[in-house]
Amino acid sequence: MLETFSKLMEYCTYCPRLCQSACPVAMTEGNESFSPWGLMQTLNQLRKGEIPLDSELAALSYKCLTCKACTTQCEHGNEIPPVLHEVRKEAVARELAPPEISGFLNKFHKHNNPFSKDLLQKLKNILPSKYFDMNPQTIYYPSCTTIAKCPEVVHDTFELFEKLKIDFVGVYPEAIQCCGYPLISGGMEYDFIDLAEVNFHALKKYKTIVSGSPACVYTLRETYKKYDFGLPGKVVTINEFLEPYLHNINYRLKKSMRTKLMYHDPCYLSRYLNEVSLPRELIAHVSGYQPMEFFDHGECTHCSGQGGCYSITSKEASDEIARRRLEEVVEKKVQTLVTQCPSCVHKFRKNSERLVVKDLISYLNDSIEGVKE
Amino acid sequence: MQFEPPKLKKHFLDHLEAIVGPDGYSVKNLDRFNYSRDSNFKSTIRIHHSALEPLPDVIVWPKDTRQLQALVRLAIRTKMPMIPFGGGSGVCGGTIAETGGMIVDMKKMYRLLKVDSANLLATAEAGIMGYTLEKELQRKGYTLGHFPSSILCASLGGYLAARSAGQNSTRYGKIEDMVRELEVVTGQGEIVQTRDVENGDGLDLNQIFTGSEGTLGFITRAVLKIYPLAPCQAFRGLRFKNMKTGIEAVRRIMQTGLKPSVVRLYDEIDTLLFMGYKKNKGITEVVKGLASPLKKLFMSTSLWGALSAPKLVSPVLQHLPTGCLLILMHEGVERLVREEQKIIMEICRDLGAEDLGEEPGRVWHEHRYSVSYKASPLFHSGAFIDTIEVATTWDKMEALYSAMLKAMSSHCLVMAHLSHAYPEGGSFYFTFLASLGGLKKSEALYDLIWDKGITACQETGGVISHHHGVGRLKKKYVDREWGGGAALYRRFKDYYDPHGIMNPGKLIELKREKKEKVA
Repeated sequence: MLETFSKLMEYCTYCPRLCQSACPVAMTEGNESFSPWGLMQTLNQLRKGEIPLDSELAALSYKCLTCKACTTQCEHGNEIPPVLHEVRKEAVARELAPPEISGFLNKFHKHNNPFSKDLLQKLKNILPSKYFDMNPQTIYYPSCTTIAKCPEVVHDTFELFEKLKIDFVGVYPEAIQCCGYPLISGGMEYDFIDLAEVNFHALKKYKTIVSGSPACVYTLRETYKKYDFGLPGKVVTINEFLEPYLHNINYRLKKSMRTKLMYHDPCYLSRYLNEVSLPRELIAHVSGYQPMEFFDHGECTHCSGQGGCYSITSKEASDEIARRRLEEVVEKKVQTLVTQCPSCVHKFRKNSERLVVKDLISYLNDSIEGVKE
Repeated sequence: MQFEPPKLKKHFLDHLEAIVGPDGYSVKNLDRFNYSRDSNFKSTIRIHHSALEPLPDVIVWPKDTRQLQALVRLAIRTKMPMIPFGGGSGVCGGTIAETGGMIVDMKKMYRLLKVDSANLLATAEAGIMGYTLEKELQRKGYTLGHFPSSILCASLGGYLAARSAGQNSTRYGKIEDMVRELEVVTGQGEIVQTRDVENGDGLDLNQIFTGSEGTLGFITRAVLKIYPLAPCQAFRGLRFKNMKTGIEAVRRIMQTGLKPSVVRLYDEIDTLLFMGYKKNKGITEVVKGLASPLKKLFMSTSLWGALSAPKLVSPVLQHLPTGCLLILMHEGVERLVREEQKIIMEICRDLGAEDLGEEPGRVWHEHRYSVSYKASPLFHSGAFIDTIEVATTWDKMEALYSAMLKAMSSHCLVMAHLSHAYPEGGSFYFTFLASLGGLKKSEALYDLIWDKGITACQETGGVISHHHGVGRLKKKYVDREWGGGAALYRRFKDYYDPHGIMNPGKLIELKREKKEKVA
């Protein structure tokens, strides 16, 4: 199961824990076993047959946000999530995964999303029917978390499209509104494959799929390929899609939007999709304002605490990670935090009472009044 | 791999839970396994062979000083050994639970509590990681000036416990020069607050606990000197004909009263490896030609030939015509930095140094934490590595370097650099590399190399540790080094740790004293 990763695991075992400070889980929970070093040296013993895969070891494999902060820190570029993925798969298959994971799966199956809700119906309450009836070549894929936790982003996205005279994008109109990222991330591979297959057949007709969720873009663009469901169309981030329109269209700005703000790089956007400068360029281009930076930003960003099913198995620590991230925002006396991931938006809102947390698209939409004729 | 069950009674766990709550401790085997070693290389050799170090019985994460005090009192009542744990970066086995017991992980006490910008002091809890502390200070425009190569994985408590030194110690000092006040929970179960005597009267009690490696109590909080971020940084590389002239240059620089923040003088093999960095353009063609083959040698099958016959290979490598590289880094107000550079250049030119420009210094700065990443590929390829950092005064510096090199190089490949220079002396940092065999053979070779190196150090009047601490690794050499101070320490130990529960088996042999008492 793990032999493919033997070199990586040995490197981590012999390393003096150089990624420790970068790991939000290790720093928040304070347990050496949860650090990338601890995870890898333990799983290396599993690989060598020295210890068995039991429920204790299975639970350990869920102590990771899959944020890849450790990979950025590591001069060998060791990637921990694929190793954990193998163990999680095996743990689920052998019914050793933590009870929160099986509970999650039961909840997921009710409506094929993590929120046990009819998200298509909710989506229909957010957007007018014309976006569902267009039969377009380009669709906006909202993501289950966006619909469930920050629905205003869906509204703002289409309002922005209207302001920028983008009239050819419809919304993804299918009943299943989840790409399957939570399933694959939690090791529920068979369920992911089933879902991906259904999604693949529904999505393959579109030439361009646009999403504001970095995890969805990564899953649809990269993970689907690994399971032979590579989509024929392009899967792009909302920023990639909007960039030419924002640069080429003459629009009016709301002056009141020029307030101090900080930008948080979501780990899937900055480390998995390598999109670091574009969000900043869009903010600067639209508002004329450079966002303030966290000390750890760009590819060195810190996760909000929501990734990799960690928030399912370690709720309190996951919230603590978000609160620690927000300390710097408070310290800098900034009232608006802009980011671009529904999970980050949800997590930061949940853990801050006073802060205004906005998705980048909502910020851009709020900043632009309309197009000059 | 068999994990012996923890030797704990239920009522002990009930008490423990009452103090730290159900999530504040763990007796899980996997946690005990992950806390069974720090980053010392003897343990790394052991884990290479899937051999365990002694397991702690329980790991505890106190959240504040009061909880820690209650834990110490519980440990006193139950005669439970307590071992402090920060980042696990230690390379001397200072956090190994030699006789089982309770590992106390300090990482839940992680706050930078106060930055006093008027007086340039910062207060932080001991469990804060070095990198986090520096990052939080820099966010506010300050620096601790402490940049050990373990900054990514060491805690403030670990810095203080082992008398850590950062790479910029020549300007900012070691951690013992930075500490102004401490809060300590002693082995008596009492909370002690030391006071700042920097400009005052009385004993500096900070220095009793700094370097005590958890054998007297737990450092829980520290007030430290900080500095505004330097407005200017400048770098330089120079090449000396040999170590003798290089050492003389560093002595003259330091005794002129100058304070560059970094001074590093590499011997021939270390120079060669350093020069192998791809981005290093400020080097001569001769060195360029040599650097790459040696690096290849080190990472190829030829390495095993070299490691199997170090006696033959070492003399050749030690006489390579690379010269010895000196790296300098300066910080501060730009005008002062430029003047300091000018004076240093004059000193070095007088001793025949070749100016390599700023590139080697910049390259060093860019890769200053990279060296720690080299251990993994070497272990994976079947070699083991370790470092020995010793210190001495200028009059003995050259003799110490030659003696240690000679003593060790029959058994391993060894290289060294002089760093952490001060007006009265400095530290030599030896890196050795040897072939991994079976567990017993590797451990014996490892012990032999250490013994040869440390004995040579002590015979030439050096001290056995500059900044890694002693732990279990070097404790047998401490009595010889400390002389009468060892007896004084034992009295402190009897006073602050009357029950003998604080990190047993570390820093110094205590059995010897018992034998003496019996006699």
